Amino acid sequence: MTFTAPLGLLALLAVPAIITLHLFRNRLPEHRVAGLFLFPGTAVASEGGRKRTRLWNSPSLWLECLVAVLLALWLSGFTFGDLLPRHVVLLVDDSASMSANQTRERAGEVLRELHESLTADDEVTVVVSGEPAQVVVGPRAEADRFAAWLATYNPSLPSHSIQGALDIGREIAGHSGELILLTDEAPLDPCTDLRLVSCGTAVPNAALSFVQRVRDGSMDRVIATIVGYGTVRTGEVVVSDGDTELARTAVKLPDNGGEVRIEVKVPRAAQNLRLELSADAMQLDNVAWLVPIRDRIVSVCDQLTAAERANLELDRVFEAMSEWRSESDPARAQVILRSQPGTLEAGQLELVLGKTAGDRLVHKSPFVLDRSHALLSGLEMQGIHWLSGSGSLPGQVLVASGSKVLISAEPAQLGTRIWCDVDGQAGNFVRSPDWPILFANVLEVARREVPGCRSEQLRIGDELFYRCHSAAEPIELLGPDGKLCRESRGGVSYIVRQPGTYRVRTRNANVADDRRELARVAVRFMDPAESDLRRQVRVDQDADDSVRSAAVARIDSGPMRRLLAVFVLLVVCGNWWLMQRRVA
Amino acid sequence: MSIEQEVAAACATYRLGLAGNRYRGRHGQRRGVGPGSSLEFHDYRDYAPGDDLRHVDWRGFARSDQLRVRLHEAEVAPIVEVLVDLSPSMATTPLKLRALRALVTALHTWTRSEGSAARTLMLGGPAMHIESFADEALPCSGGIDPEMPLVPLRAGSVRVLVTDALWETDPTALMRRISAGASRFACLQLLDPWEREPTARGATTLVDCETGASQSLRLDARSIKVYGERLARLCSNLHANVVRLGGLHVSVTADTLANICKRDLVPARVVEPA
Repeated sequence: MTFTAPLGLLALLAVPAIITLHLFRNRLPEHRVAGLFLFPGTAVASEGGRKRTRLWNSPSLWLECLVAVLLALWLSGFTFGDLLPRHVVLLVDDSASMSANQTRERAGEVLRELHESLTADDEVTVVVSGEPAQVVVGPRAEADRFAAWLATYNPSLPSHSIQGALDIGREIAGHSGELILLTDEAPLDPCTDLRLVSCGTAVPNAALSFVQRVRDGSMDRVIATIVGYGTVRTGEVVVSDGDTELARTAVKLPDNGGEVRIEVKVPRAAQNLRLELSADAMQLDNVAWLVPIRDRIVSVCDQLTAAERANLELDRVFEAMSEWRSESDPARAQVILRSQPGTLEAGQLELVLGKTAGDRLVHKSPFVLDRSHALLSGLEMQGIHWLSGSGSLPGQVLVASGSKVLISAEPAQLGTRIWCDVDGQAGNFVRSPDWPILFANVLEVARREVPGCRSEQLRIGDELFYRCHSAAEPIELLGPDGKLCRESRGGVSYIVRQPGTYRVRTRNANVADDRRELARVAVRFMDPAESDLRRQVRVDQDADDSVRSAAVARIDSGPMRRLLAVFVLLVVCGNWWLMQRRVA
Repeated sequence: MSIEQEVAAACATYRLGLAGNRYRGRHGQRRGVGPGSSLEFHDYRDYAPGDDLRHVDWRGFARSDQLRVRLHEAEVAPIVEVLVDLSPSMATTPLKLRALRALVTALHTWTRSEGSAARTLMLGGPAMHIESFADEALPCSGGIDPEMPLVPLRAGSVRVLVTDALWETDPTALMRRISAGASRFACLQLLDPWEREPTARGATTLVDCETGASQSLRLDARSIKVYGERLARLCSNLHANVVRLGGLHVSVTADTLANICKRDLVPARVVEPA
């Protein structure tokens, strides 16, 4: 019964209250007698004046005081010291800076100490930061699972806030959990309710901040930028393809930081280039991979008549654009040009061009544009004379003139249909600069649906997206370590968290050896905020109050509470029995 | 056992102890105060014209030449008047009320069995039918202060007062008036066992069953001792008053009628073995 359990102390106030009630009460058991005058006149309470009586040493008084004391013990969680298992909620900063050499050593020590302090009955929850934060162990897992996670801990995420992890951890810890935050910086959160272990060390570091592979004649050219955060000793960059070293370039960074740009020519046949900077405080940002960039050609199926195409000047428009090809089979195209709506496959974009029925209407700019839509990106629509029919268009309005909708978009089957009510014979819209921009936007929107990877060069935290030609085609995604990351059909979407080369392969369950590689994706770490280790701090701050309260909350008061409840019940029944006897 | 059964058993075992006294009343079996027609010689007196010549003492006339008449004792059946205190204090406990009903009924029955007349009178109230004492819910709603019955008492009657005598006022006057003109007077002071020897109850509110006054006190050994002394003083005063008036004071503790007779009434010669 301490000030950390104030309910028990408050309940003790019932004892003086009971004594006071006994001092002032006048309700005594009555007894009828014939000769009251024969009894002595030493009344216990006067008829007038003070109502306080002598305190009688009655069993009822003692029993009521005993009940008050038992209740106080019950409320204060009285126990003989049985402790509940410890619940440690470990919040781990999963940002890449935690992988810096000295930081990682210190973090490893802290984690090992924590692991050694856990008993078999203790429970662990590990929350790693990120966007979003994730519970990777637990909640309330056994200590063995913590050890298994410890072996795989490899921080590599770009800069992010740890507040999400703090919120989750606090919610899981509740009142009895022991919160520990492992990071390398001074968090914005005051962290007064947890143990803060910041194991960072402010050291200079260099990083590959930019890497690009461009075609240059018969050879490919690799361009890289190395940035120094603080005074970094001179190193070198090694370019290799597998086990074959292709180039080695010395790098001399200026004092107190700065950047250096290097260019290296590599054979076009090199499939999996690896650039590595000399070892320094942090290894993660010293390595980059480059895979060949595959063109993403949009297939366009033009089903317009020659007159319609000529009126709309589509030949001129498509001649000005690149990375597209004509496709005669509408089922294999990403963009279909039609004068009337037709059937669409999954992911296809249909452009319905032509004047709607009714009288011809003339519209002059300005127009109302939904600029949030990707199709209208960059359109100015100034000085436009737009001729259209008087019919209405279905779907979401993209461009309108007054109440007349000129361009709209609607979902159709599994694709998207764009309606464009335009008369190419008159007006100046199809001859304005906005007309090819509109089609360029159409191709860019449709390019996302082109089979293959949307991007072969990713940073940690980006989404790897691969789309197959067929929605039923089984594929699998392998990580840089060769482990299977995801199995799916028709495509895969995956947030990459490891640096290295990911591979997309076919997966045929019937044929064990049928593992054809479909694509390679290079993932590297790049985040100046994490590579700059000069702001790291080392702090070990204990939260005394929270630790003490957690220790109190760990006391297992359940059995004792049940016992006290039985005692209270017995004493109350005994007191009631005594009172009944006295009344009788 | 019902009261009727208890009374029947007591009447079969005991009878009223009326021996040794001379009474007034109708013709009966007890010696009367004056001359009568029994066979027992009583006295002589001078002959007066009109006297029965069969009672003339002829032998004495032969010796003294004076006409004298032989007088014989009278045999009477004394009138017994039972004066009952029906104040609320007589019903403080069921045992006390039951003993009161049994005692009064037994006195009435004993009197009848003697061939005597019996009257039951309520202190401060009218004459009562003995049948009313057969009712378990006998109303004890008489006056609080001791008062004479509203019905005049018969001269020369045997008067038995059944009361607890727990009066705060002095009962001397009442005793004197009750005993005046009585051929015999007995006061049966009926008390409950707890009234004679209270037990400790701790802190208690005592409520007077007659006045309704209450008093909270600790009923412990000390207060019980004081109570006992006061009760003893009250009883001794009552005893002195009754004895001074030629009466008989008997302390009766509420119990079964058989126990009351055996323990209290027989030693005091109120009743005697039949």
